[in-house]
Amino acid sequence: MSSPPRAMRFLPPLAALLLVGSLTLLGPGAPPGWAADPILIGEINSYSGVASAFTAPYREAIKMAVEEINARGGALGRPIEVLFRDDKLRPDEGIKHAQELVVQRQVAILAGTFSSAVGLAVSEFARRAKKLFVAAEPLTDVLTWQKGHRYVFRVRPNTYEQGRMLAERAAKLPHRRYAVIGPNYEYGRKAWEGFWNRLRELKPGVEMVAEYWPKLGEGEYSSYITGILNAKPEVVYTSLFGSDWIAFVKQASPFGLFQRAFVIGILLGEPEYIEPLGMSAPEGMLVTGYPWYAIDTPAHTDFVKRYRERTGTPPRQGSLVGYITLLSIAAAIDRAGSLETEKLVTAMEDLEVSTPIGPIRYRGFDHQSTMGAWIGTTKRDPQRGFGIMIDWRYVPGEEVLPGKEEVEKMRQAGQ
Amino acid sequence: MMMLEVTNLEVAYGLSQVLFGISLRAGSGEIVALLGRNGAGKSTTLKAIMGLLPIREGHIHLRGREVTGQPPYILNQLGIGYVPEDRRIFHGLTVRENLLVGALPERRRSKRGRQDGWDFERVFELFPLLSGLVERKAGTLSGGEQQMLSIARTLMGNPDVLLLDEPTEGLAPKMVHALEAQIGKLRDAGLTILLSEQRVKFALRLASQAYLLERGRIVFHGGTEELMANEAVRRAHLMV
Amino acid sequence: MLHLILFQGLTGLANAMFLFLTAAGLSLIFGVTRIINFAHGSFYMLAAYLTYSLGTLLAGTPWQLGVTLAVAPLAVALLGGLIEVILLRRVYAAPTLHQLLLTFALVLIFGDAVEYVWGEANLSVPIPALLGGSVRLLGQPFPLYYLGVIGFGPLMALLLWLLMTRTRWGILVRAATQDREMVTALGVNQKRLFTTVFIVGSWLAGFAGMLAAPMISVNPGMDTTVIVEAFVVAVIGGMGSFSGSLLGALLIGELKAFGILFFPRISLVLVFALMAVVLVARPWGLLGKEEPLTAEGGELAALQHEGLPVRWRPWLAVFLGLLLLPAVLPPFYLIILTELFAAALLAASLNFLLGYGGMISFGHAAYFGLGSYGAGLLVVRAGVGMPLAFLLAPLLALAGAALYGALSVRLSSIYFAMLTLAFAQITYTIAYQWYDLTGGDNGLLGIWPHPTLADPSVYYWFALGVTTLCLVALFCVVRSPFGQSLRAIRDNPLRAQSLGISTRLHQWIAFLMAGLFAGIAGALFVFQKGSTFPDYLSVEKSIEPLVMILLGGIGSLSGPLVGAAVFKLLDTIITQYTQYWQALLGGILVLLVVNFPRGIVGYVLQLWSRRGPTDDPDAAAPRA
Ligand SMILES: Nc1ncnc2c1ncn2[C@@H]1O[C@H](COP(=O)(O)OP(=O)(O)O)[C@@H](O)[C@H]1O
Ligand SMILES: [Mg+2]
Repeated sequence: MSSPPRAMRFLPPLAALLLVGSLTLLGPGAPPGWAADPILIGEINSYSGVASAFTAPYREAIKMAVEEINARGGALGRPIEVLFRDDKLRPDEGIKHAQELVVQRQVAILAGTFSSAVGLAVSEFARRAKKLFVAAEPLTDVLTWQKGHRYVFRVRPNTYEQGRMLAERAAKLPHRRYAVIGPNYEYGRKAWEGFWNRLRELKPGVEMVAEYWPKLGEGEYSSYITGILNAKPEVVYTSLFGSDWIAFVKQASPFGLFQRAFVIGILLGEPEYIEPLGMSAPEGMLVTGYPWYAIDTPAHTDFVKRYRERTGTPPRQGSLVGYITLLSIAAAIDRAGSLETEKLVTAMEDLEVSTPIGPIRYRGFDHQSTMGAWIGTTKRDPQRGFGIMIDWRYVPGEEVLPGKEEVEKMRQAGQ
Repeated sequence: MMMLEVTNLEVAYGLSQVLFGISLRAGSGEIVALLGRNGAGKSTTLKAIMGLLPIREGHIHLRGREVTGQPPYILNQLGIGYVPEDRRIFHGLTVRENLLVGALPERRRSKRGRQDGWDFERVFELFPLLSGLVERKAGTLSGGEQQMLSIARTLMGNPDVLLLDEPTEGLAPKMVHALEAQIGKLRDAGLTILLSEQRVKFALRLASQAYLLERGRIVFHGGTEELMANEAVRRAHLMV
Repeated sequence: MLHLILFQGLTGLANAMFLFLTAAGLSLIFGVTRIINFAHGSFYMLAAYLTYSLGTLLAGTPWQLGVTLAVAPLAVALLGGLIEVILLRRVYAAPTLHQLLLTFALVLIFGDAVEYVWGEANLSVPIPALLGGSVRLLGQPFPLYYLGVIGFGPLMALLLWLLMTRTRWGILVRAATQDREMVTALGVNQKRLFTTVFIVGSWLAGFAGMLAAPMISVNPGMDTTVIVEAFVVAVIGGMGSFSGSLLGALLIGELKAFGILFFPRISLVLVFALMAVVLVARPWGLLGKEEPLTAEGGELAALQHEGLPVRWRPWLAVFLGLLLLPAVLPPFYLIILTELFAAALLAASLNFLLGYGGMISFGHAAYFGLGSYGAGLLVVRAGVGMPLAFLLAPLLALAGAALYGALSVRLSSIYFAMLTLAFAQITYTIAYQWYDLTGGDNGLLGIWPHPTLADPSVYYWFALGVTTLCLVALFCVVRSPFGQSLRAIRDNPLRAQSLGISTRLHQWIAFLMAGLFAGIAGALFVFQKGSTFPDYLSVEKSIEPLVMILLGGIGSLSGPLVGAAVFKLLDTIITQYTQYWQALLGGILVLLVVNFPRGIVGYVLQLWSRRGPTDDPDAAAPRA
């Protein structure tokens, strides 16, 4: 081996210096230091991949809310600024961003997440970092109950609540034989448990004849469909959504699944999931969703109008959730009068927020909001060219949420 | 004008050089023997001429025209045919299909304007053994049959120069005998043949001149009689 | 029961047809060019998107079906040919690793390109009216489209068979699959043959994508799903064999259809388990041809360089400098640097296997993940404290490496790469599906370090220490007689065998060590993040250290360190500015493979040695 040129011996330290130097100079910047600067909110969500049908309108609505709030003078006299991060539906990405937002950007509040798995991971991070986390969309009920803690709040009605709403209606049907198919992850399974546990209470004779848990993003359901139909269920319950649901509908329709069984789908009345199906959306399904076209309270009509003006499209469920999430955060900051986490948490407990769909409240003992959901039946609307919800009813959270003792019992079991 | 002329050829596998300044010449319609022990560099020489190995140094001329560095398929189209030492027939293909791979496609056949080229009929005339095996999978043929197929396949491309690498390797004496006659016929048909061999007597019966290779260098060149007469060379290198 | 078998069997058959078409193209391309084209799935996806766009463009016109049938696969086929001419042609002589990474880079680029053009939403392609609706079988509806596909499959198989046996092109392709060098020596223009093979192979992917589009939801993730399955099918059947692809497709199609019914919990593992069993028993697939052992490690060796000088003083300076950093850097950068240490250790462990052992593992994330799950399971499920958990966790990776290594070191490079990938997928699937133990998708949370290490700067020192120790250990192994034997095996396994070196034992031990160090990297990483997820075992995570090695330069001690640093730096900086980081990464990879196959360190050294008087200019010159 020939001996290297002398100068080359400086290469290793030089390289290391270069690395650290460019990391600090070009890496994510540090937070602005002085008071007139904006209040930073760190928002982590699944902006790429299967969830984007939901998260894109969600982000639009957040931007809209920020503009409106800042136009009114912001919070604590400072403008609000939201830093968006894409978790790609992956919990490790979520944590990575949470770390950057909290440690480097020193955001006041963490918010967002779509996937229950990401939500739980960011929640655990927030617990350890002692940072307020306003979970918008992860629906697993354990987030605020079994795995709940001081620093996590949730905006949307969870799997337990929505499952319960659907169970109350399903119990009135004559059917007894149930099959379930859902994505094999936290949300998919919890969305079934919430429903099934309640249904068995209301109607002890029901029986599960088939259960299938394909992986999230499976895309190929024909063998599952024939398997389900072979079990001859009267009801098929599904927690599929997004591209999985579209593929399922296309594959299940020619097998006659929607004629041969009554189908219940959690969230599947949301415009995100029903509109892409166009006029092939299955009719007569029992669903939870968001009939934005039919909610005619003045506050809501106004919200729809402003959103349309801004984006040129009608709101989705994601738009509503995003908007309410930001309203809640602004309200919490105002009430706390400070950006200290402990004060923010205390302010958020039992906080009332007035939203386009009426007032909601963050319950003090479990940090779950009382935002409700719409339950109804699907029908194709030839004029619009896609499916809508009919015979719908808004079920407020209070109607289906458990009381304090029950929550405490769950929390003890979860610790 | 020489049919094939190699000057100062140097070839290496990776970092280890194998050929050191090989030069050889073959006239039209002549058989030139390339002799040497196992590992001397015979196969490497033929592969390099065929463009299958990168050439470090040196030149190759075909009919006086420089062809160094051309890709194998161009060299083939220019008239060099290569019959590799381990035959390398396509086992999964039938005899007929093997021959078709070697055959000139119609387009090029007419462009070259040679009506007297090799076709199935003529190949089977030379190797009658093959004519009964047309639809057999080549992998099931005997060693001798495979060797004939390998030569026939190359002939289908109408070469002017044939690079024959140890055609007798592993063949039964009867087959070797038949092959000798067939190679002789090829020469009589006007082909120039560079014949690499370890069977010295076999090669010298066919060739008009010989090159002797030793560790990548040419250590002797001359007419066949000259070689047989040179006691020292025979003893040292050929052991005959 | 009859009904069940019929329906399940038919859906399995329909899926087998999609799989066959896709896998046949993949297998054809591999057979002739020896390139495993990961981008094959991207072509499938592109055709599905084109089908969608043509559908919206021509909706209602009578020629919609005909135009789509003609245009979608053809456009993709031409793209395939174009890519072959522009890019792949340059790497036929490159090491297998470079080829694999180049086609993987194309996957990244096409993935982002599709998102850019068609957006991220799921698109839906209507079933053509001709094949819409259902027919009654045993009194129950069955989709007509599936029957159409089931009919189409054998028709395509027949056409392909005719193409392969009755045309000159087909005969050339079959000949080239066996011995492409001989085919060129017989006057066939290899370049043109390869290009046409790419065109036909891509056409098949395009045709499958077009055919599948009405049955699925068209979305940007479909490329990876399909490539993995096509890959499994082609490998099971035998790469390069058409009938093998057909057999593999039927096996996988039906295995999935009935597996879902009878073993719903392990249905995902079944497919990969079958592939692993086949590869272990018949590495060249059920109907493929056995390949002789070749010294492909030699190709890699040709791209190697000494790396940055191994003198203790400059490296000590680096170490001391890093030791002092917490005094000046804010905590966030320390967190990033801690991640970097884990990444560097992972890359170094893989480089040990790849650069010195000549074994291209495409599933190194398995051992990183096993290390992190080892830690997670000990802390969360068994309640073991951190110091002990940290020491024990890598043993899980070691155990995994012992098992997987024993089964895979027998194979030559491409098949070794595929088997390691299959094992990583099996491990991933277990972590994903064994909900009760591993938490499935939720992963394991709350894996925090011992309180004394909780502060970022203390954990930084801890990670720096562990990483340095491991790197020094690896360095000693490389320089030991064992390391020398390993390199001898890499450069020429046959010669090493004839020298009396037990090649398999050496390779297996190297595999164990690489697994162990990857496991340590995993444990180091997990205690900093506090959680572990199935994604730590994913294909992407297996590719990352390969990219790092390629960035830095193969087989030198400093290469993976520089590579990891640059990768991390790019990741941290670029993701701030663009959502198309994948495409950018793909572009970087293409550039590296095509123009800088020796990596950054290799390039710098080459520049340096051109000026320096001491070096032999030949050694640095690119190969002919
Ligand atoms: N593929 C190869 N890689 C490295 N060395 C080779 C290769 N092929 C042949 N050699 C070496 O080149 C020399 C000449 O071999 P070859 O041309 O096959 O000799 P011959 O044909 O006269 O028996 C031998 O020393 C052999 O070991
Ligand atoms: Mg030889």
